[in-house]
Amino acid sequence: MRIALLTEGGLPQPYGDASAWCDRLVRGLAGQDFEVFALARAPGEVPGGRPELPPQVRAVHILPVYGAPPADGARIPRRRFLECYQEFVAALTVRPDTSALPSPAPGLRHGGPRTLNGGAARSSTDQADRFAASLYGLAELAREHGGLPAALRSETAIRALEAACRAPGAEPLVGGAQVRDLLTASALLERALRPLSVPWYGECAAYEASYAAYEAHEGGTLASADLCHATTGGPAALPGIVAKRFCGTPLLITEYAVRLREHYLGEAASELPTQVRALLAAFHRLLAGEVYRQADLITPGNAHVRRWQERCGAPRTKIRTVHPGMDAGPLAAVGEAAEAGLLDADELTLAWVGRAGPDKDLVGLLHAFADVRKEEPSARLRIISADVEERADDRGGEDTANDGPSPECLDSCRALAAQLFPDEAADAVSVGENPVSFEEVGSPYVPERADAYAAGAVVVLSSVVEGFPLSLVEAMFCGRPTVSTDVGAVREVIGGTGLVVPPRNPRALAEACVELLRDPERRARLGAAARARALELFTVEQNIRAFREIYLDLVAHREPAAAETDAVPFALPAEAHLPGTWTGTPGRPRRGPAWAARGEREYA
Amino acid sequence: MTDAPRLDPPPRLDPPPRLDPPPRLDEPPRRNQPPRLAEPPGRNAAPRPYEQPRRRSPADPVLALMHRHYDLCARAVDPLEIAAALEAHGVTDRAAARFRHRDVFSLAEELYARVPREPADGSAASPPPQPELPGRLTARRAALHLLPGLLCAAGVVASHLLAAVPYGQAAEAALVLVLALPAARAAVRHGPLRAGSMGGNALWTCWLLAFGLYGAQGVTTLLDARSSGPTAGLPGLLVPAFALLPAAWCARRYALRTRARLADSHGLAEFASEVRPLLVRTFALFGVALLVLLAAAYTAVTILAPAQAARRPDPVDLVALAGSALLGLLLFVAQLLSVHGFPAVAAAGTGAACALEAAALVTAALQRLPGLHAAGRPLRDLVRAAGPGSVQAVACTAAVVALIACALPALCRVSAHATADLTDPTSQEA
Repeated sequence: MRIALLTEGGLPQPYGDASAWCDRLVRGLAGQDFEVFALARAPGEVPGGRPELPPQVRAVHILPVYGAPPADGARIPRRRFLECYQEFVAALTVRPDTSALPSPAPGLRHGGPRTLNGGAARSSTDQADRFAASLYGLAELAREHGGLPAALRSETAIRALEAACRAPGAEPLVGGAQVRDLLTASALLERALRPLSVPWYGECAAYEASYAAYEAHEGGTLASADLCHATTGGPAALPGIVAKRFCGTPLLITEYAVRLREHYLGEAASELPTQVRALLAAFHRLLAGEVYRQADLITPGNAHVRRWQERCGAPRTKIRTVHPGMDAGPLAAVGEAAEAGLLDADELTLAWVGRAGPDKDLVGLLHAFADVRKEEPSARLRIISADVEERADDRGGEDTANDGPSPECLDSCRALAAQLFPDEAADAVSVGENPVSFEEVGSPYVPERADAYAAGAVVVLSSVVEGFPLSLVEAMFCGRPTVSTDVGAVREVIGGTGLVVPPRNPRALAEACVELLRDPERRARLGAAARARALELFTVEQNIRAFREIYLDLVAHREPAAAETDAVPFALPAEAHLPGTWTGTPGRPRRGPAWAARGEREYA
Repeated sequence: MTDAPRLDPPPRLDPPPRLDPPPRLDEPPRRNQPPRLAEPPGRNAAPRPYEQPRRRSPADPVLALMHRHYDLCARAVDPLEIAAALEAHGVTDRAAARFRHRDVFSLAEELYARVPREPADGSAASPPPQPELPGRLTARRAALHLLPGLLCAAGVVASHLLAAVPYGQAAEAALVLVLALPAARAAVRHGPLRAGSMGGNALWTCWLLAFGLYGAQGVTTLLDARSSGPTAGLPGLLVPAFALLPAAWCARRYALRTRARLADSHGLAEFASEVRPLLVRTFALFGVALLVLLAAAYTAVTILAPAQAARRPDPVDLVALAGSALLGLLLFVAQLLSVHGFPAVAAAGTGAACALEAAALVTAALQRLPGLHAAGRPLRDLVRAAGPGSVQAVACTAAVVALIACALPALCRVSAHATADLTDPTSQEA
């Protein structure tokens, strides 16, 4: 199969933000052909700094969506463009119907407004339809004539945007847009719509002119691919829905973090004026909805992502959760030892493994441990800082702001631990030590991450904010019994194989820990169950197998494009689209000069 | 401590046990009695410390949350933005249940509806710090802009020393042009006159300057067929060369003023009506600068030519110098158009001037052919009345008028000022 991976992110990493799992997926599916179609949000380093790609990645196409637009010199038909663009900006600026909240009766504020208020639901569908129609109209113009980027920055477009902002039914937030805001918004919208102009959607006369403007085009297109796999929703999937419309390529969307949510969190921190943020937010909201509607299948990584997708309009029938996979290899030895009962962890030791931060609530953990000590005076706590692989794609519901380890947090926790627990010694002649120890992976006693999990009889997770808790999954791989707080996807991950307590409740945490510390048999039972569950659900192999099946399923049920259905019935036989290449074994990617490749394609 | 919010304790909907009516003894105990009415037996044995922090929840639990996240809610443009931020602060669906909402989304919608938005002009009150407009006219760049003028001035002085040498003046003028052109190009590339794309403008500019040097001589030679020895109008080059610095200053001033207008005007029409007088003033300002330069150049030429100093101020010389001043104006308008994204218009204007000049040369050559003498009459009349420099003056005047007519609407558009405006490091070049 030829799979087009649609990504978005920084330049040096072609997989964009979703690099870790994408890389695992591509390496896992060695038999398939991959091509990466990346939107680059910011200039990165030189492409030479790019990591080595596996040979099944045939080509990497990069579209910069920053800076000035490439000039392709083509002229767009002004009138049709204006019609489409007016419709487009009208869809962006029209007032959404969130004001139609039902009057909040005390004690009964349940129920979504959209389902209660039929009129609101209808007009929000209208808005989505207008957005989609105008978006495809613009895409068609770009495909037939080119010159869309210049037109989007022209005076005509700015004037249309101003008229839409001042229109009677417009959102009041954008009504006060000043000239500067209009300019900024036009430029940002042009960037957002740049994927419409890129020559990725098959052979078309208008694209020939723009080949020179964009990068030299080598390899296939989205039309020749059997499947588009968007690694996030939102802008990265925009080429996917255009390809689906024009070429009928099936679209699969995988989201391990909600792109729309990240847009909101990122934009809230930006310095852009309110009016511009409102316009961009409307664009991203509508785009997310359209992308979810057009996708053939949506695979969220956890229930939290799934909830956002459903909220944005993803049809429930198209959603299938595929849990992210983790490499269990380094942890396998500890897991097997734990299952065999050979792990000689200290009986009364709790372990916390992760990257310290304010959202991990280590303070609460220390207070809980004080309660544990009242019951079990000889208990110990080991806080082990580990660089758990926590990338944006895997985190899901976590704030992107407090990224990275925070030494201040760890220091303050050390101070608190010293206050709460005085050093203890066995007798009057020996040197004492604190029952709480702070270590990090790589130190002599904890050389590997697996050793960190093996260090405690019980692994504790005390976060107050969490996305997809990777350290919990690792603990499960190691066959450790866990006590965790009920945040993020913890309940979904742990199932029934560990204890879950409410967040910010040190006493409940302490009670659960004491229960487990006193019951070795239950510990062993829970650890084994957790390991079995993790091996069943969260391995890389499971992830890759799930995607392979999804690929096969989608390619088998490919439907002709909307543009093709207008043609004569049965003009396209079922075998018109042959998955994979005709020659069977795909050869090496073409490495000739760009002009030669282009000539080949023209005369082929 | 943590920066995540402390959530209020869950509202307890069930009444405290002491308010319960005592179980009546005459009634049989109900089997399906909810357990909340009776203390579980385990609790009686060991009173759990959980009972202590029982606090009454307020009637409006959302109020505290709203107060805590007021700024965030006031800044939000969408309920989903509030939902995203709440989740980042640890408010999950289960926490939302304590606020009597089904999920975070409906909680966020209530917050969005209850918190008034920031006033629309709130952003205008504290505008984000604008990055400096690229192309500042530093002292070094100003010196670079002055260099072509100085080269020309040196050339004029040298040409008087070379007056006796045959072909000396013409060759020396060519040398000056060859030196001054790269200097001017270097100045234009790094200052306020920097344009993204020049179109064919650079080539036409070279032609126009070359015609300024040799055009008058060429027309005279072709018309009269009597050579007075090859000379060059090097003094004519003085005005455009020295005009480079005022041009850069005017362009910078215009860019800064329009940027200020951009920040505080409310509509496109308002912006255009504010910028139009600004543009006219810019052209006028540059015109005044040219007049000053013209006067200075004329004085210099008359002082430097003591041999002919006896004669009266010659209108013919004035026309020639005015032609070179008009050339300066033409180049300024064309460059301003290029800077603001209309290189094609600029190239068309300068190209038209070139075509006019070339047509004059061709006419002067053709009218010598038998039978075509009549065709050269207008040119001959023009040259006889106002001197050979009038060809350049007429060509530049026509082109300047046409270009200004194009520039007035074009440079008042918002899109003409979009290039350096966006607050984005990638769109700016130093």
